[in-house]
Amino acid sequence: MPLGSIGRLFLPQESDTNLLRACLWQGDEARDAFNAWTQSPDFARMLSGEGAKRRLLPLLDASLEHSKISPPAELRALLRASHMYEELRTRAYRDIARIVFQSLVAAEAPFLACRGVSFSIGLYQEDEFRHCHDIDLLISAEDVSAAVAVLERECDFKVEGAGPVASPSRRGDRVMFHSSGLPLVLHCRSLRIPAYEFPLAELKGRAVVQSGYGTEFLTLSPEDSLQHLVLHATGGSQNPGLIWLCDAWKLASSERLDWARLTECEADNPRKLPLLYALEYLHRELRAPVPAPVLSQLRSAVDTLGTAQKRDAQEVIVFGLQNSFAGGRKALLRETANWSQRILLLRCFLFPSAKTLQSVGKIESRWQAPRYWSKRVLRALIRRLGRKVA
Amino acid sequence: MNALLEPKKDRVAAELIDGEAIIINVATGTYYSTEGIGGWVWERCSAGQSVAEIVSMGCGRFEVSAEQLERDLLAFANTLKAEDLVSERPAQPVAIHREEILPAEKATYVAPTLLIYRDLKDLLALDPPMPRLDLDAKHGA
Repeated sequence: MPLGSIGRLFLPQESDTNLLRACLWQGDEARDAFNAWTQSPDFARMLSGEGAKRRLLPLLDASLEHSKISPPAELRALLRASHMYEELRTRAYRDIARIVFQSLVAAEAPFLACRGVSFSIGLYQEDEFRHCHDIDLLISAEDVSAAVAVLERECDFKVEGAGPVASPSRRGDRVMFHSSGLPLVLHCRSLRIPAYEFPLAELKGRAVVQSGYGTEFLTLSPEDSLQHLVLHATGGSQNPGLIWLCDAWKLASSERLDWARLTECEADNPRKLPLLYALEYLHRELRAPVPAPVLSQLRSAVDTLGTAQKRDAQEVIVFGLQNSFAGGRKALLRETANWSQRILLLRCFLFPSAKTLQSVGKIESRWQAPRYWSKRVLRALIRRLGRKVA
Repeated sequence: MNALLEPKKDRVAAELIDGEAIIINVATGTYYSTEGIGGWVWERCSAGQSVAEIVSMGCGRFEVSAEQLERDLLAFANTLKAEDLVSERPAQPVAIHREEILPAEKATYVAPTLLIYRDLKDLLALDPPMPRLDLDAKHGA
């Protein structure tokens, strides 16, 4: 791979992996992982307010309790407070979700539930173990207005701003806010990066019925859910945190997952690379029961990609990492193993290939690439100049 | 001294773990834990016992004089009030004798104290919606 392990940087480093193990494993193995995590500098950072991990605290508390592990005094009160707070908050969240789902189902507004709102009641023993900061629904563009009307009329939600989100990567999405402040996003596109996107009609065709929130509704199939999680974390989310890996681990451990269906996709689809990286990580580091033939099949599929295709697939990952990797581009550059990787990475930052720009939805036609590059250089110059003047 | 300290149920959630009370004031975004006999005192307050009753029970349970316990309890009560966790109202003048099985040996006394963590907003996932405080027995304040 031209960029070596850089493409895997959307996955956690060692101390975060230990935190995940402490949340997901049991007994002595969980204890060892927890002890290793508490001795890492990340632990101290988390105690001083590191945001992305606090959403895991209720799950960590439950896991430690289950494995009879006593946390250090400085963490104990925080864990209990966080678990208690989340339990109380979940009641309010559940009430809102119940009204939303029941109202949309009654109005026959077609939608697919995805991510937290579906996982918290379907994958976790208790829904408070899975913090949900919003409600994500996938919906066809032509059904948005009807859904918005129902949500405004019956569920105490209001649309943010004047209308649909104009940003190219979230074109058509509608963000609404409940009077409590809880956001609800009506996604017209399954993922922000067009190259990863699944057509909504396909997702609906594979959707499964889920019971919860006092009704029955459609949600992504387990296979689509797993891919959606990985691809969202790879390139679609500004701060994916770690909770998506708990979701992915639980999905991979679920008997409902059809592994054969997971690997079905076009031969040159760039989705295969992040999917392979994520499944390898889940299998190797978190011991998720990913069948060996699935990994071999994905590895073979990735191996059959040409050098240019592999580079493009990695560039798409790097493009997403620029926003989500802690420390941004500078930190990414520090992760490179040699000068050739550094140059390749810089090229990705400054002059991503026309194919990559198209894949991530920055341009519509390859001919627009030079304009995009020159605008980027100009913007960087203006920024630098502005800094000097200041 | 014959006052009742009632946890404010519209804003306070609490749980007792291994004798330690973990308390959250959802209105201010602050959480607390207790040290010493603070968890026991909180439990007594939540059960509707007056300060006088708690002093009387505490003397039978812990190695402490009534004067010392009363002094410490009033200081603890003042902190609870200052943090807006409890409201104070006069207890019924009629003394209610509550039966309690006392331990054979008195336990070591450590004064009740309240540890205050004002950085809750930085440490917990406080996204909306705000918690719903129609509490059940488990989290009853």
